[in-house]
Amino acid sequence: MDFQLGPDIAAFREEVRAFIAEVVTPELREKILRSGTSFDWDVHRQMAERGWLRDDWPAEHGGAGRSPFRVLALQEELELAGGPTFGIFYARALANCIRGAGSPAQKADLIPKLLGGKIILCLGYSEPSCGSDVAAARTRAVREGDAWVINGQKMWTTMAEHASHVFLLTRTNTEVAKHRGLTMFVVPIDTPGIEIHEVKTLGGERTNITYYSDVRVPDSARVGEVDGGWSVMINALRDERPGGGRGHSDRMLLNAVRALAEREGGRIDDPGSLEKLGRIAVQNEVARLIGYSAVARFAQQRHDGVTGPMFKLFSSENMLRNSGVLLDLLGPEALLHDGSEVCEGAGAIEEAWRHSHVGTIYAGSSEVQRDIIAQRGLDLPRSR
Amino acid sequence: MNLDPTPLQQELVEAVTRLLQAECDTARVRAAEASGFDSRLWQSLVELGIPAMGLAEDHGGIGAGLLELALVAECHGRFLAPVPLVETIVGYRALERSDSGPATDLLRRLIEAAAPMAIALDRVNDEGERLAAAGAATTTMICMEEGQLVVYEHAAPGIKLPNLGAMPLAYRSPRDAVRRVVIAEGAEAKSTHETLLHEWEALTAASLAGLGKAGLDLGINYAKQRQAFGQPIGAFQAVAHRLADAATQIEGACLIGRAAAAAARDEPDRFPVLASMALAWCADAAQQATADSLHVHGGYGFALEYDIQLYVRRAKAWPLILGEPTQRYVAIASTIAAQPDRLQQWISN
Repeated sequence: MDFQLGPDIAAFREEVRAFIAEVVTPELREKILRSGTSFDWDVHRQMAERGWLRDDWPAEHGGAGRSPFRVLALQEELELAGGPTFGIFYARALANCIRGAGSPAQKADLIPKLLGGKIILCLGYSEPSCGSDVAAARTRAVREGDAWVINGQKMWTTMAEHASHVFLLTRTNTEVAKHRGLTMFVVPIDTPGIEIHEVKTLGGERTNITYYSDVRVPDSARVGEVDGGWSVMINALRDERPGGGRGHSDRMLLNAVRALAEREGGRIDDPGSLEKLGRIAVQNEVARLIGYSAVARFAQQRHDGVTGPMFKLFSSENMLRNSGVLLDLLGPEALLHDGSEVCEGAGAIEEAWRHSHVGTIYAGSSEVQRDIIAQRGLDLPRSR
Repeated sequence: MNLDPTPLQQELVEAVTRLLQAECDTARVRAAEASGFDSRLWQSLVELGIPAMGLAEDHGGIGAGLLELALVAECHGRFLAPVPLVETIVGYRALERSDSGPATDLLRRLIEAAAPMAIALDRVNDEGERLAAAGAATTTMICMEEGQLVVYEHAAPGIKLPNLGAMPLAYRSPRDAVRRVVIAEGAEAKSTHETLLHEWEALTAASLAGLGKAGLDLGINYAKQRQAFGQPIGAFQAVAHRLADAATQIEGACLIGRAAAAAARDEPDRFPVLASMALAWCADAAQQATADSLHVHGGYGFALEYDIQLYVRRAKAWPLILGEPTQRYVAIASTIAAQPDRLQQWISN
């Protein structure tokens, strides 16, 4: 038993830090804050060209079968630096979806482009009337000869403004149980009939609502079986690397300590403040260990489907609570934010606090995570 | 990163578990509440070589590292074993570490006699007596005194003070000791004592993780069986979600307990802070999880006949021996989060 990530990951981290020092400039930080999307094509392509998006993938997809902790380290370092983090997730998660259920033609076309940083895909799961209950999707796909005609709306299609395709969950059968009548498509985003409307959020991120009006796609755009969309989605979620690291929570703590120490002459001595900082440091360490253990189990192909949800639940709830605690510690100055300036020190806490409200909602709300932990981890009866 | 126990670690855990299953059911735990010490169980652990296993072979041990000792401490907590195992393990190791003639002689005598060790706390009463963890289970007590690390030996164990955790707590007076052995002086005394305290924190953390997990399991099992409003109460989200949160916190407790112990070998620079962090977290998590478990039991959880109260009391009591939680959090932050560069360094490793 050991808890070390080892010299290879340490060396890789150094490489990533050098890269970040070069590319994550104040101008890029400002662009990320202004656009509301933690993504930059130039940085994304450079990471892909270095093989960083796929080096834990098998060789048949251009990977090198390396440790999944490499991409975790990359994500952590980007988070710590406030660099662009969305691209890694969207490229890898969607490539994974295609790998799991795509046709040979889809795999050959989309996976190399996704992992090579040429294109990005977005997710069309949630709808105005369903989020956590994603199997209740109403967006209709109706077969017409060799084509499908799609009508409906999708919420939270983040990254749609950069994406080449949307990975779209549709209803193809209304006569069966809700999760048995779903079909997945990968739809070019420039198909006539698709409209993207910006949605602004409390956290400053840009997301979208996307509208689909008589969108016509060939049957070759279908991913998996007709009415088999639920298993496509579940398998993609299951195979996606669970867990995570320490980046966001430690960045927030570090920024708060910078601001407090500066105010108090270089060193924080107030025991009341120190106690709170100590609690947060401990919680960050615990979150990191739960996240790492989920990845370690995944790397050993012993993915239990419980530790990942534990990390999601624990880390997002911590961010929400601790960003508030840190704002309180910092006092009135922490209220100030300047949209045109890079938010460092106190300003970053205010940003983190606004953002943290969505962490406990997206990618499965805390309630959904607790259901999973209770049923799969503790073997408690199904509850609603 | 590999979280699987090695075959040897697995064997160790199984051997200790078998012993405790046979000799430490909750009837035995209850029977030992009056004295705070189950001497028969202690003898069995000694026969298995557990208290000394963290020593070198020359001293009757097997050179086990703190991680192996933490796995044993988890078992200790899981079964609420009424023996001062953690205090003795770290006390023996302090004697071995100091390596002076008197310390080595003393260690040999203690091992021969299979004697537990007590650790004196800073608390001194009006009579000049010091409160000693495990002081009622043994005649031997280690403490810092005016810059020296010393061991006091008494003619008989101390008298147990009734307490929340049914621990063998006793006041011990240096004045009526039969012998005073100086283990180390000056800087060496200070560093040996600090290591003793951090090892005590790390192993107590692991023990609390085991306690918290076992206490929570009682509540989870109860929630599957107890019916209310026509269904098992575990089918209510209000109950299930409380247990899911507690299970998550306990998962974190098991991890940080083991991570701290592993750091003694792998990251010695980070070990002291990680040990304090582990104790801070494991104490909070074990208290929350056992309190949640009691709550899920409903009124029965409050009845002494049900076992959950045994866990709730110890989850609160065991860590308090090592000092006030608020001060522990302050100390952690003073070391790593009072200045940005220190925190940066902590995060970067």
